[in-house]
Amino acid sequence: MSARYVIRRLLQALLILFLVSITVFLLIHIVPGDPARIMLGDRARELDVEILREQLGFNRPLVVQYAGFVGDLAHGDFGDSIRAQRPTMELVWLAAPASLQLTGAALLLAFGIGIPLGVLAAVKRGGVFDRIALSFALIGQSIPAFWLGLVLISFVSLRLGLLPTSGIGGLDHLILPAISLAPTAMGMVLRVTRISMIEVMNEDYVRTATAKGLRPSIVVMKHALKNASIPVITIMGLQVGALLGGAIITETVFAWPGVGRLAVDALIQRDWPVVRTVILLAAFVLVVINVLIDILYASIDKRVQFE
Amino acid sequence: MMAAMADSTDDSTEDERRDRWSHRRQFLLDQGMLAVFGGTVLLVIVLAAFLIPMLSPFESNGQNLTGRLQGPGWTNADGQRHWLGTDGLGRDVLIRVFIGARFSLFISFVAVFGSLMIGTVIGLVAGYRGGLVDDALMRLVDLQLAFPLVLLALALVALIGPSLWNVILVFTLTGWPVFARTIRANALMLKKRDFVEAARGLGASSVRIMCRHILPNSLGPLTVVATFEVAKVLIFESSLSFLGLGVQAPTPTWGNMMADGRSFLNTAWWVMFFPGILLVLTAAASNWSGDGMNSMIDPRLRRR
Repeated sequence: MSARYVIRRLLQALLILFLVSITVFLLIHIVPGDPARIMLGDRARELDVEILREQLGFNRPLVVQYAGFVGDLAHGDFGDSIRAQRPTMELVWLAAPASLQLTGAALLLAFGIGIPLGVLAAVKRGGVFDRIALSFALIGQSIPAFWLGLVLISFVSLRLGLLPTSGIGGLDHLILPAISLAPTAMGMVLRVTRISMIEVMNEDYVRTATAKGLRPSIVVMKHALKNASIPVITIMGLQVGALLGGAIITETVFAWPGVGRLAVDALIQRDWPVVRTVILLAAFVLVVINVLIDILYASIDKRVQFE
Repeated sequence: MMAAMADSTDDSTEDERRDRWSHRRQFLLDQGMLAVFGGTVLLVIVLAAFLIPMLSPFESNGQNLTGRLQGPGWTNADGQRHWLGTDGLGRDVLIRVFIGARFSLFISFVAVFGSLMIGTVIGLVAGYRGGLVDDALMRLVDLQLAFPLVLLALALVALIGPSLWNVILVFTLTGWPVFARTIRANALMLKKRDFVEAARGLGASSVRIMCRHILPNSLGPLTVVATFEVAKVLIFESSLSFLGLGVQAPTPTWGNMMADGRSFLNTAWWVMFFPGILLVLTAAASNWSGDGMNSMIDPRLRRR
């Protein structure tokens, strides 16, 4: 892989991050009205609004404000929460492990169910099992995580008294939120696995392996699945944003103390600096993941660089 | 779905080839059925959203405090039956679910149509013009795709205030990149084709080529993306509404009904269940029709 490609891709990512910072900075300013007033709400005292305006520098020119904002970001200063009076970064840092735990568990479920079903569907393509698997995937992608969460709490926790309704704790607390969050990703993993398997199984090397008289199960597992897994990982990387979105509301339903719930609470309390930090970090994570995937992809498939 | 039929070994016998062809026709027929099935379910839901509130004896905000949280099938003192039960204020869940359907469907159809328009213009120009214009417009797409959509939509609605048109605006402004990407890819492919070269040779203007040649040939993929987007916006809109950042109560939406139902998970599951199941059905119907159309128009299927 040429160094030029990597450098070009990194520069592009930097440009995007720069644009992201401008957008996020401008979000509060594109709304008509006084930003300090928007943050504190209509019932706040004029004095408090004045103090906040001074504190956040809203009475300085926009360019100066932006320069200050980016300068702070460069020093790792994402601003302080209005309600908690603590650095927003600290709040996100405290909430991150819970979110990682939840999304990790959901992804594990999604891959654990989606990949085997996708492989089987590809092997038996066009058949009854294929159709059932595809419908299963499609319905999974049509279920909102928060509704599934409500249904599970209502029937599994409250009616059957099986698992805790909310909060973080042992493995038993993790099961229902993870099941609620998994179906969307599972549907996607299943479909992408199936398509890439079908494509890979038509490749010459898989035909050769079959022609050599290898057992079908070995051909599928060793030759096809290994090569089909690259697109699966790529597409899942692109879907991290969708997963984060689902997690935001799932966390709220299950009172799961993660970043999503932090963001929703901050939105409701108009704690704009916290919201801004979560958006910035989420965008940062998305951009970095996509660059890494592109570079990984280019190092595997040389054709990509020349497009 | 598609590559299954596209394997090309030329040493196959005539019989094998005919066999494969009939397989493929069967497959296309199945996919067509899938698209029709999804479309029909969607149509039935739209019709129900119009008819059920008109035929129902109840008002969507008609409260009955003596008949609160009654289960599905409960008959009130006047002999009127609440097929899906009543909510915490004794309102009929059935009529509210379908009034909610009107709002949800309206929001997602209008927002998707809006982003389709914006995305089409941007994608057409970027793909056809190429060069710097393309670079600049595609960076704009990248920028938008760098944000987690739900979070961005939540923040925007929280800032500009939750209302029907604000929600539509936010989903229109956040939804266009996928359309722009789709039509750009199509324009890149089509602009090198003979009929476009021919039109250019005959002196057709860029605008004419874009509108008369490239756009009509891109409607298939755009329609497919639009059906998937409708499903996506339906779910996102309900999520916003669920968090109180959608159309405001007492106007029923699927999201705010589910939020209401959260208080009665133990006693009255039907309050949150029915809006959700209708949402799943509508989103699935939309995805079904998109899937069906997608496999019908996929070029890899038409190869032979």
